[in-house]
Amino acid sequence: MDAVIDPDALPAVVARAADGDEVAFARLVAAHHDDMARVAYVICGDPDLAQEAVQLAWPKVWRKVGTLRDPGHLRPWLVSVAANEARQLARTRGRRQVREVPVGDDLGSLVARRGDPGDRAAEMDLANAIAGLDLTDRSILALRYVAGFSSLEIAEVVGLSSGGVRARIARLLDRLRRELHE
Amino acid sequence: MTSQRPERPEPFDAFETRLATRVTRHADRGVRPIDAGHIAHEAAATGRGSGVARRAGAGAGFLGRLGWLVAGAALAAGLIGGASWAGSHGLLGAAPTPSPTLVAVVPTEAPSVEPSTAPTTAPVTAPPTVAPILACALADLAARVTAWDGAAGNRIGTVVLTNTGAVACKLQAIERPQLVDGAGTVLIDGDDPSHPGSVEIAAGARVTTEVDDANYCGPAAVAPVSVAFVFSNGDRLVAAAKSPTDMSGLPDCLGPGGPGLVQMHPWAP
Repeated sequence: MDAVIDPDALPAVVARAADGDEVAFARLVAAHHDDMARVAYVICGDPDLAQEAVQLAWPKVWRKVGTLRDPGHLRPWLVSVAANEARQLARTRGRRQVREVPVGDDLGSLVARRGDPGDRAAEMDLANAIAGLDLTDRSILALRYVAGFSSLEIAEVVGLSSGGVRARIARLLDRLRRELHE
Repeated sequence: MTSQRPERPEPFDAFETRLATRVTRHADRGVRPIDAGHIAHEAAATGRGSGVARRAGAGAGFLGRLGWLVAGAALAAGLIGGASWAGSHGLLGAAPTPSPTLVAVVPTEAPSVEPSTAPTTAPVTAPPTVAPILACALADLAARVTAWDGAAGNRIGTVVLTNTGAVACKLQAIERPQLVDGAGTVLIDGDDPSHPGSVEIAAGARVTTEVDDANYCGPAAVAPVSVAFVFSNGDRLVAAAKSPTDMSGLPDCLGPGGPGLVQMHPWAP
């Protein structure tokens, strides 16, 4: 979807959404839902959970959007809210074991329909590598490489210092280099 | 991308650039067709109201319709995360912090040491001596459940914790929560915390948390239902119930085969 809103129009759209204009709010949903879902998916490893996380995020955004001082901060804020929902769901479902993340089989069945075998193998390697990470590392991976967050912004979401985030990024990259054979 | 970044991320090296491409492509698997208008309408319908009741309403709207079993765990997380994020990203606080104020959330992970050009001469004046802030003593803490809200089978309790001691003290940001009844029975036992932070609570100051619970299928509980927190040193603080007969924190049985759920969000001003 990713229906882009003209940056010049964004402040007015946000202001109307904050005033309770559902049409304006729908424009924000259309523009950002997919970004939020991408981040949530990498965090929780399940497309259904990712969608659930983002859908849980929107009512909170509705209530809070009026407190956004700078519309330029909208996207990272939205991504942060969705990431927190995804982290919470991942913790809950992981502990309750309602559903295991079916990375290998699920991905295999889906990618089998497209791409060459080398790409498919690489994608499965990546999916399995991500599935082997803990929740904090998955969150860092999603926020840095999908959302483009800085270490400081990531730190706000995962509850570490920015220095701690940078240290984890370094360890994460070492691990992924090995597991992805790079 | 529809908005400006408040801060540029650190530049990627060649491996990170390739990794970002691959992870982003992988992340596309989380995208599904949506009806933005419908989502906006649902968000508006469930987001209206006030305070904690709004959060409960959100769960009722989305989760109730979709029939998901476990709702409560996720309801308040985004608010807390969003509030934390908001501090550095231009969001106005919902309400001023009452005086006396606490509170610093202190990462327990040591910050990285940046390369620096250290001065070659020793400082002339010694830094002032600051008394260390110690862990809160159980006797100096008082907690009370001030509200229970709920939707779709879950309950969300608001708990206020007060430092009744004479000095500031430090507490883990998350403890192990328990849902307990008036007979002292642990109805649902939570997990040990993994949150890395702590909070410092000034003398007389208060912090608040929300505790989510769901799916209690055990024997009949004795009034009142409340919440307890197990600290890392084994101390256990039982919050005073909302009222002597209150049972509103007891969640419905959603499935006898499934475990109960209780978890808390970090203590916050």
